[in-house]
Formats: sequence, structure tokens, C-alpha cells
Amino acid sequence: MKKILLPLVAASSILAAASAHAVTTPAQGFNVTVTLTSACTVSAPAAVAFTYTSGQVGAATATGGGFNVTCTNNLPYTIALDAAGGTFAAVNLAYTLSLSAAAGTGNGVAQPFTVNGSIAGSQSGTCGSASCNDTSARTLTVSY
Amino acid sequence: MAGLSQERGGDPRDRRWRAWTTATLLAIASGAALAKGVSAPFTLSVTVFPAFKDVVDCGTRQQGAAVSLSCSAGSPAAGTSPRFLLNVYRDGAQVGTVEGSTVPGTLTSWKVVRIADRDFVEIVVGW
Repeated sequence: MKKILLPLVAASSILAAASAHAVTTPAQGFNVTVTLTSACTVSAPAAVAFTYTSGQVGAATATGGGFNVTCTNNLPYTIALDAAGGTFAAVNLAYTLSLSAAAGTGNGVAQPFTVNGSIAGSQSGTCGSASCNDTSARTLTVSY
Repeated sequence: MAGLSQERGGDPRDRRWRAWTTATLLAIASGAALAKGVSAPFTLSVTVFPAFKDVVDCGTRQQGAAVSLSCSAGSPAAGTSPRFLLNVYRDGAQVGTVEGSTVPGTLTSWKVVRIADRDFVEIVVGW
């Protein structure tokens, strides 16, 4: 019985000694840095569409024109149209455009805006058939 | 020594000029770096109809929630597509028009629905 126990005692003594010699180094701090580049995106506005009857009394207002601006939180921005108005040359009708708001502050999610369009009344226009169509291309810009 | 000192330090006016130029260039550079923008193209379209002919005037009468529409005698010329024009008023001021085309007998009813600060014209058309 003694012959078996002695080697076991010796082995456990060696393990205990190894455990006592484990060394822990002092904690080392480190920095985590980030550089955030602010940005905005803008969706293409839905087509701004007018229907107009020659010589109509009241102004024609457009449908469509909705778009979204998405900017970094707290980032201020401005919105501008390349022109506040123009003329549909093929049908000789003048129109005006405006924005539901010309500035905003980003909040990280899409913020809705609208391009409003109007064609003043009492314009005769030019159309030699039952109805005529014309299109025009415009651009809006979000600056930040 | 005075000449050397002048050479090292430079003319005070030159130093101011260089400082101003540097500051201006830095301001322009930083401004150019900060000013960013994104653009989106969009399309405008218009459909123009000739002036109305053979106009039939219609009036409305409101009885509770129901609005009835009655028109003066008259019918569009054979083979033509009647068009309708609704002048939309709010608080006594005209705010726009709604117009469209139809064919005889297809426009069965219409009503104005106010939701929040918007008036919606609902037109029921039978095909």
C-alpha cells in the first residue's frame, strides 16, 4: 500500500509547484479610435407631373416630387434646385418650382421632402392636337 | 548685423503678406474640403389639353355627408371624350384644379374626403 501512495504524493507536489510559478503581467491599456466621415444621400425625386388646360383660371399644381434626404446625425445640410422655374418649350408653358424646406439636420434616417410645382393660370400654351406632352430635366443638390 | 537681421526676419510687410496668403489658402482649402454635396436628377412632365368647348356647368349640393352633383342639360358631341374640371377651393380661395378625361356614362360618382389638412377627390369610374 505504501509503495503506491508515495508516487502519487510526489506527482501532486510537482503540480502545486508549477501552479505557484505562473506569472501574470501587468494590464496594458490601448486606445480605440475612429474617424467618422459625415455624409448625405438623396433619393431621386418622383416625377413632377402637371396637367393643364389651355387658359384655365386657376394655377395647376403638380403631383409627385417626393424625395428623401439621409444624413449623418446632427449634420446640417441645405437643399437647392438648379432652377426655381422654367418653360416647357414644346407647349410654351411657364412653371415654377419650390421646396417644402430648404435645409435640415441629419438624424440618421430618411427625411422626406417635396419638390412643389405650379403652372400659373391664364396661359394659353401651344398644342395643335387633342393633348400634348412635354418633359424637362432638372436637378436638386444637397450640400453639407 | 542690422542687414543680416533684416534678411533673417524679412520685411514685416512681406511677413504679413505671406501670413495672409497662407491663411487664405488654408481657408480656401479647408472650405473646399468641407463643402460636399450630392445631387439627384428628376423629371418634370406636363400634359396640356386645349381649352374646354361645349362646357357643361355642374353644381354640388351637400346633404350631411353626401354631396350630390347636378349638371346643366347638355351632352358632349358624338365621338368626343368628355373631360371634367374640378375647381378646388379651401376657405374661399381656389387652391387648384383636378381634371381628367372620361367617356359618356363612366363617371358614376365623386366625393371630397377631408383627411387632416388635405382634401382628396375620390372619383368612381365604371368600366
